[in-house]
Amino acid sequence: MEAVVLAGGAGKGLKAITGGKPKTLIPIAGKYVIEYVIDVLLENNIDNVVLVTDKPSDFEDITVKYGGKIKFDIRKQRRAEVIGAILTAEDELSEGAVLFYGDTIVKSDALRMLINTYFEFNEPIILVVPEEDVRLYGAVKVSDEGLVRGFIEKPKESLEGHYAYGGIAILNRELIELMRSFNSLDKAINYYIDRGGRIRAAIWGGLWIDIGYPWNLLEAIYHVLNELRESKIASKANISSKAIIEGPVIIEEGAFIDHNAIIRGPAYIGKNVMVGANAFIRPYTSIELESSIGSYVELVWSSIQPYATIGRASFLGYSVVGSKAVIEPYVYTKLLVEPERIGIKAIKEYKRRREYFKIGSFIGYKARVKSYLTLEPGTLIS
Amino acid sequence: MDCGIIAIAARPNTLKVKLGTAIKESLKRLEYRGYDSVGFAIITTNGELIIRKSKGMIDAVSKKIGFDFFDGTIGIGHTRWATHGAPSDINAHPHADCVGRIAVAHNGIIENYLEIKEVLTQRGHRFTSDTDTEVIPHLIEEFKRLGLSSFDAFKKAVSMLRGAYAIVAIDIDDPDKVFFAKMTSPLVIGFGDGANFIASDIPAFLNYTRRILVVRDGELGYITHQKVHLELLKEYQSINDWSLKVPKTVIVDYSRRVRWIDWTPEMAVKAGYPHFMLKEIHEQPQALSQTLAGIHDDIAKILPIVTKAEKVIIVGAGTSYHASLLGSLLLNNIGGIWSHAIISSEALWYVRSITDKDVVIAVSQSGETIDTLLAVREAKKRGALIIALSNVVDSAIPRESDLTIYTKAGPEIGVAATKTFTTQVATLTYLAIKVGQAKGLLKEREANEMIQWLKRTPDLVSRVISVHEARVRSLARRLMNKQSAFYLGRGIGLPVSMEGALKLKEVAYMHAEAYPAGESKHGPIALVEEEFPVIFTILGRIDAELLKSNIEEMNARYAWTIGIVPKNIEELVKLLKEPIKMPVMNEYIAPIVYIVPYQLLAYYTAVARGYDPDKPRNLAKTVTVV
Repeated sequence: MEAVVLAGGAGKGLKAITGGKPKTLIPIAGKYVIEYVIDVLLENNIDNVVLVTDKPSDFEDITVKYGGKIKFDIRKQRRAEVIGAILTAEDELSEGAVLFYGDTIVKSDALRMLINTYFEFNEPIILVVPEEDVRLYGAVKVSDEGLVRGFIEKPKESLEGHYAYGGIAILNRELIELMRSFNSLDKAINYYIDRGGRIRAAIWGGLWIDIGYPWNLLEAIYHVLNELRESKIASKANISSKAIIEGPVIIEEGAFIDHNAIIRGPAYIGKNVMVGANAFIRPYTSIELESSIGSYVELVWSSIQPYATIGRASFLGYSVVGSKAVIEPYVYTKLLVEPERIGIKAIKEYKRRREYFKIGSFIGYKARVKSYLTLEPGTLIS
Repeated sequence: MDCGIIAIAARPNTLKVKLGTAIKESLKRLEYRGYDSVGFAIITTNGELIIRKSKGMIDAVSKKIGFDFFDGTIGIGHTRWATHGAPSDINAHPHADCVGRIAVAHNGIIENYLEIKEVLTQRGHRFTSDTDTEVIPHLIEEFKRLGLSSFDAFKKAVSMLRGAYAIVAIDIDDPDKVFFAKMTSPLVIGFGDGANFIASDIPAFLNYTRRILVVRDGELGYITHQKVHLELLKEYQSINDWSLKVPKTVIVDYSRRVRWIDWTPEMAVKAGYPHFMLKEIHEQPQALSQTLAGIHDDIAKILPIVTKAEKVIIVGAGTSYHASLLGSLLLNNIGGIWSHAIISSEALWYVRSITDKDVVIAVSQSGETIDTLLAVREAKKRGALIIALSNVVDSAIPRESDLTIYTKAGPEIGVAATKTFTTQVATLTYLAIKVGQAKGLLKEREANEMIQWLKRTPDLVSRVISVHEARVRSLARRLMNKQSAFYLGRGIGLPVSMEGALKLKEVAYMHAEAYPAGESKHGPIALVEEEFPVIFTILGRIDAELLKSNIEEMNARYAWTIGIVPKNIEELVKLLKEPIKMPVMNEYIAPIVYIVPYQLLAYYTAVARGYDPDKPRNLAKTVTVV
């Protein structure tokens, strides 16, 4: 079988973090987002992949890494937006290739279910997910018979009784032709349905994350690191005999963990990462390659992108630090958000019979944060 | 009606078992599509056409019709699920022509079969069954008689049919080929090594091959053991066209459409759902409409008997017991008849007080639950009249009962019962309303109002699913980390709570205990501490005041109070930490709708904890051991 992966652009919500690189090339625990997608395809025996992107050269490493297992056809996206990307691969999609948004982190069972159902009914099909707030995704109305009754690509408000569009689909020639003439995803789908066309909805309630905003990276880290069952420490990692390492952790080669550093898993320490003396790395932290963590730094549930530097005694929690960013010493992030503060998506926690909303800061690509700053929850520095 | 079809063309000795056995095994994998009658036709190694068929489930009739005795090179098989009308030997497939040289199995409905039948009868054909299918072999026979080859006669016959069909046919005069045609009803081809297959669904032949081709509407053709031939029908002919003009077709190059699949048989049939349990939760609106559509006539059969009974004892096990409990509370409360629900395995302790003036209603999804069957036998000895409430036509308990009512939920595969529960409750509720009306306890206006609400349940369930699925999914992500939960309710809310707790235990492996809300302070409340989940069932205003103080006493202990609550009871909505706001409706009918969030909660908690809700450990769908 074939798949068309939309590896796309930077995405509005993550542009500050990626510095304009495709968001599918953001690493999470040492693996690019798109590699999670490719692994799902491989687990479903899909080895012909059309990769649509506006920057084909960015994906050379990926094609080399998976070259033995997958036949890639990398195409430069012809026009803007998702619809432009879809039409770049219209030949394959007309023939029933799987359409897969490259920023979707999902269990391979979801794709398996979609393909199974496609073969059972031989009708176009899209993945839908029961999500409470569909504003950030597409909204899909589903009938009792499991058929799509309506599709809104960019819902303006949260719609009761709608499912989120899961970013995976199998279409047909007629739908692709409609998309070409309308130059719109939802117009084509709604027109097709209105004329009596049938599109199945496959409901998926398991793991599904659409990487669109920095906090989605935190969700993804949580799920990926939760899957760790054992520690893996490279023999070429350099770990002080006085460092304390607990719980499942991955430490890659060339990493250096200094005296008295504490790493409490699940956590990921990338290639050539330096963790200074007395640093405290708490659960759900992923430090990508070549980053440097100063002494006495405390990190919790955060994503530190490659080549970032975090200065002495800073505290970062629920935060994302873009690649090559520099946090000078003694920077603190505040985490606690007043409930439902407008414009901030926070992480809900329950402790001591109270609900807490927490989120840290998002530090952009190559940004620099001055010493002694205290950052309010949800701060974005680009 | 949803049927399953299989056809096999095999070189001798390639299947490792006899052809009849291979057909049987394939049909068994289609049993999820239904199973009240089965049959097969084989052209044997000595060139005879054998047709065997019977009503009943495959395992039950396997010996009788002798699948395992017959071997051959081509054969077809059929399994059927009737939701209306009794299955019979004659109506079972395959069907033959006048002289038994052509056999046909079919899934779907031929809309113009009466006209075709009339023309064929005038031309001297004799029909033995009432089915629409039987016109197909006779049509083929007629065109062969007029001089066409087997395949041309088949094409000509198909071009005259209108409606939905998936057809497989074999003809003794062309003993290497199985002919097929498809319109609307599903049909899939499997390419094997020395054998080819056609079936309603992929699981039928997954043991032999994983290379498949999905047949499209309007396509027809034939398979031999070496070859698959596919054509697209370009012309539909009138039934008055008795010329020998063969309808126009084009040969289809299917090479690009052949797919390789790698999943297990059962994964192939979930229709867009990751698990059967979720599929069946979503099927409830349909299951309820089908059950309610025929309910008036079904209940009319038993109403006079139940109304006259001294006591109505309802027996059931597991989920069926919870439906029984709801039924008995309603029979007491609105039916005005002394009724008691008993767990099947405990029933023997009550049997001695049962008399011949009593009615026993035996509730069993499968109709095979051994504990319930044993209770039925004992009650029968005491002279009670037995009414079965089952979802499987002609199963053991209906066979041993005096009267039977069927829920029309369709096959339920998930071990945790969902749609059979709601349809059982709908049936028993309707019965209670009718009894109440007959006994004068309910005024006609009240009864009609309740029945109107009952008729709206398919819509309401559908709305509750689409509105609350996402919310319940996020609730489940929090519930997953708990050790234990209470489900509290009052009156008919209690069996709903019991069923909710059972679902959570069954699929999410979480300890859950249902208790009468008023009784909780006499013991269980001792377990409640900070963040302990306590889930309330609130159906309406009747018990709202009392439930309010129950919620307050739990809130005072910092419990995590969740509630399924009508959205207009604002004081309770405010009081609960996690209210799930439900449509306002008649309280007596509400259990059918209010159980749905509990089913979803159990499902999503199981998924969040990484369990497979379709295969709970230690549980079987039908319990046939004591």
